[in-house]
This record gives sequence, C-alpha cells and structure tokens, in this order.
Amino acid sequence: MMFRSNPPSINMTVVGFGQAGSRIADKLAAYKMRDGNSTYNVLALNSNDGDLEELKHITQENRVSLKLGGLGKNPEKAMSILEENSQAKETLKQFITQKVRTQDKLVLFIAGLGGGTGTATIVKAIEEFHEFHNMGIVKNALLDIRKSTDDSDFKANFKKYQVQAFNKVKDQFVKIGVIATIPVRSDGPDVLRQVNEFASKIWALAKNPAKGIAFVNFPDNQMFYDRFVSDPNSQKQAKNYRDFANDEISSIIHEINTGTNGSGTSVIFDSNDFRRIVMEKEGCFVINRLEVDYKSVSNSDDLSKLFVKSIESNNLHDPIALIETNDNGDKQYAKVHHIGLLGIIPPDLNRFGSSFIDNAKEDVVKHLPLQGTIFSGFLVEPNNYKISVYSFYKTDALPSRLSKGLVKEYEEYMAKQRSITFKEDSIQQIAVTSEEDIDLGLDLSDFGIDSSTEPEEPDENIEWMDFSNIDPNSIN
Amino acid sequence: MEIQLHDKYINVEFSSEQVSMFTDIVEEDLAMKRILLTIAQHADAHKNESDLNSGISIKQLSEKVIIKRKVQKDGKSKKYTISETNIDRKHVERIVDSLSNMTLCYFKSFHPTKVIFLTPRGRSIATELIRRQIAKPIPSSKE
Repeated sequence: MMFRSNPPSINMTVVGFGQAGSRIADKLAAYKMRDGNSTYNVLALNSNDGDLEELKHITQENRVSLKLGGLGKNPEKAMSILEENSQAKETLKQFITQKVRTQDKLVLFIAGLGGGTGTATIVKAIEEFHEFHNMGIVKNALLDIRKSTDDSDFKANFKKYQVQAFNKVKDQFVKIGVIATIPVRSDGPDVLRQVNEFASKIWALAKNPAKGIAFVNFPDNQMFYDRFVSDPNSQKQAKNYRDFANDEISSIIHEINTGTNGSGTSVIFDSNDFRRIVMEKEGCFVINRLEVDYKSVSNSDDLSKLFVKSIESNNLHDPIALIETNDNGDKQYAKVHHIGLLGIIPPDLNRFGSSFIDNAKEDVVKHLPLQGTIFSGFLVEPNNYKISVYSFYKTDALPSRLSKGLVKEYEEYMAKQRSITFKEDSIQQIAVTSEEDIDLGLDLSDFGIDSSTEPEEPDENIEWMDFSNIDPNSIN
Repeated sequence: MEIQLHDKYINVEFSSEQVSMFTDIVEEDLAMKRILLTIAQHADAHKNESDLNSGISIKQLSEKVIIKRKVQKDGKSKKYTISETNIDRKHVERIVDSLSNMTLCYFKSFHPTKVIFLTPRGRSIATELIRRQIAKPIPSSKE
C-alpha cells in the first residue's frame, strides 16, 4: 500500500458539488502522505447544511452551504434558482474564486448529474473559474498586443489576436478536470432527459480548447449498481452501490496519481509524463484498473497480457466507442492522445524482469488508435498479494451509454420490459473546434474600444454574400 | 494564379486596407469590375455543380460581359462607333491575367480549355464592390 502515500504527480484542489460530488471528494480528503499531510486540498459545496454534516474528512472551513434547502432533483430549476438568488450566486462565485488554491496545476470538479445541486453548480463553477483564473491572463496578453498596434488594426484583426494571445498563455492556465457521474435508469426519464442536456453542455465545454478543461470523465452509476448487485465481494466492502462507486472513483484516481510518482524499478513512470497525459489535449479521460491474484500469473507474457486486458475492462463506465462504422461501411476511429500504463507488482514476481512492460506497450498500441505517446512504468511493492494494472488515456469519444443518449437508452430498457414502441432520439456529437475558430467570448468593449460607433452596415451579411442573383452588366 | 499557387496561399486574407485598395484599383476599370463580378456570379450560380461547371472560361466571359467599346461599322469600314456590345476576347484575356496577378482569381486546366475561379481574396473584393454599389446614393430625378 506504500505507493498510495507517495506525493501526487499532480497537486490538485478537489471540489465536490452536491451530495454525490461531496462524498467522492470526502473519500479523496482521507488520503494522507507519509509526512501526515493531506494529499489533496478538498472542498465541498452543497445547497443545504444537512448533507455537508455527513462528511468525515473535509474540514469545516472547507465546506460551504448555499443555504437553499436542497434543489429538488431538478437541475434545470436549480439553474434558474441559482440565477435568481443573488446571495447563492455570490457565495458560489466567492467559493470558486477565493477558496480554490491556484498553486495547484489542476482543479478537480466532481458532481453527480441528476440531483440538482451538483448538476447546476458544476457548470456554473466551470465557467466562473475559467473566467476568473484563466481569462484574466488572456486579457492581459491581448492588452500587450493592443499596445503594439493601433485601434483600427486591433479591431479588424480582433479574432486573430485573440487566438494569438490564447496560444501565448495557455500553458499558464490552471486546468479543470471534471468528473460527472450519470444516474441510474430508475431515476426516471425526466432526470435522464435533463442529465442528457447537462452532459452535452459539459462535453461541449470539455471539447473546446479555449475553456481550459483538461479532461472529463462520466462514471456511470447504472454500471456501478449492476456490478454491486452481482459481486458479493463488493457488497462486503460497501453499504450500497453509491459507496461502492465513490470508493472506486476516488481510489482509481488517487492510485494513478501517486503510483506515477514512485521509484525503485528499472522502468518508472515519470510524474511529468503523467501530467502530460492528463493536461495535454482535451476529451474523455478513460481510466481502467485490473486487479488479479499474483498466483494467476506464471510468466512475463501473462503480465503483458494483463495490460491489454485492462484496456478492455471498464471500471467507471461502459466501453468507449473508439471504432464506429458509418452508413457507408467505413470504420471511423476516435483519436486517442497519450496513453499511460502502470503496473504494481508484488516482490514475488520481480523475477520476471522488466521486459513485460515493453511487450505490453507493443500489444496495447495495436488495440488503440494512438495519436500521441505511450508512457509506461511499474513499481514493485507489497500489494495484498495482488497485481494491479492501470491503463489510462484521453480520447475524443464518449462511453457508449452517453453517446447513444440516456433517454433513448431508458426507452429501449422500458421497451424490453413492456414491449412498447419508442421513437428515435440521439445526442448530437460535438465537433472539435479548430484553434483558428476558438471563441473566447471576449468583446472589444473589454479593451475600451467602442464597437457601436461603427457606421451601420448594410443589411446583407457581407461575409457570406451570394452573387448568383447579381447582374454584373448593370453595375457601373 | 495557377491552382497549385492558389492552394498554397489559400488562407492568406487581405486586411481591410488592402481590400479597400484593390477595390479602388478594380473599380477604376469598368470592364475589370464586370469581369470579376461575372466570375463571382457564375461561381455562385453553379456552386452545386461539378468543378468544371462552377468555373468560367474566357469564351463564356466574352459572351456574358457587355461594355461600351468601339465597334467597326459594317465589318470592313474604317469607321468606328461606340456601342454597348460584348467584350472582346483578347480584352478578357488581358483582364483575367491582371486579376490573376492580383491573386483575385486562379485557373485550372481542363484540357483543352482553362477555367477561372475566384480566390477568397477575389471574393472579398467582389463583396466590397457590391457593398459600395449598394451604398451609392440613388441619383435624384432632378439631376
């Protein structure tokens, strides 16, 4: 268990929104390093005091209540309550802008989609945090550019200069990681419909490089429920599927964050490399963990195969749809950015040497459409007589349940049960924004340039003028 | 410009000052103005068709564009009159060469002919020409 006490590869502030988010965050708050200090700075925000009192490890001063008495499992209504209640809005804004430590390179926002508080506050929090912490840096860079040119050139090339400023400072951003759990089917079609919309919003933000979101992960409560009821071992360790889910999510994240900052073997994972995997590019961060009894492995080949198997196992959600066949029968591959492979091997298996990790890399690359680099490493230490193998990567694809659409999935489930007919519905894929099209949401008025003094433009949309109906011979 | 050169610089845009400058240059020559707008009009009218059809040839330009020019009376007479008629083919070729050198249009070879297309820069000039045309005050009936 030693590696779990390592300092983390990525120092992060963890913020739990709502009941589910706070409880997952509370699990992370329990982890301590060897010097006795907490591994993470953890905060919790909820709409009422009651849920916050149940937390065990998050300190009192790091708990904030919006004092709204709960938001009634209706995220849409929760959003409008938040908008209308200026006190709650101000509390949320202060919480995000002042309590979050920015010496950390990553802020991890966690919420359960569906309950109301977490869903509504996490979207607002992402926008407020990015605006406060990151857009200020972009604006300063734009001001520098403005000093080197005149108003008319700045106005004419405003879009180009925005992209220039963004590219110059994006490495200084404090990035956001988002973990948003999706609900069980039995929460009902209204919740599923709303969660569908909020998940789409979060995914759209996550795919936009201008929003500073390093990754998103959508752990699936339905999958945790199915696993919990079918596995007696899980039922021994947790009271219910929610506790089981909270343990799984927090432990996997913590283990890869600390296991990638270990030492002592010939192939160690570099913490910088882990930061690259997590922070570079955007998309869904897929994390898998496979644990087997060490006696089930008899040679180096068996060890290598565990890594490929770990990619096929799914701890937090349904398989990611990396390959899809379109209507023409062509295969379309989702991009996979950097890949990380980490092994925790008990000392008894040290005799296998280190070649297994090289073979594992070769095998894994055949299974994933890799665009970036594959990083790997292993630690040798007692691990309860188990081998733990982790694979993690970022991709622009979604878990199948989410990409298919939660409402559609609910209707299919009901149809199986009661043979009802249903209509087609689907979640829209969000296209990746190219850097030239980044919209940072900035306005010329932020830079003291009044765009309203421009003479009124003719009604035609000049940029997209259609010439097909003009008569050139009538023009003098 | 040839298509290869066009592809290489396809993303190069004119600044607003440059648009203004090139529009001033084109506007001074009515024939050039009408040729440029005819290329634009043809491209948009045929945008959903094949590559070949969405471009316009020199011959088509000389058939479409009308200007005031000297025309020989009665074919063989040495007397010329000014009349509104189709632009001369050689004149079209010279204008298209000028537009191409200004990077406002490019051509592709479809043997045995060459077909002309508008570049994005040419489109911005055409747009500015129309914008100025729209913005021109309507002459008073008293004038």
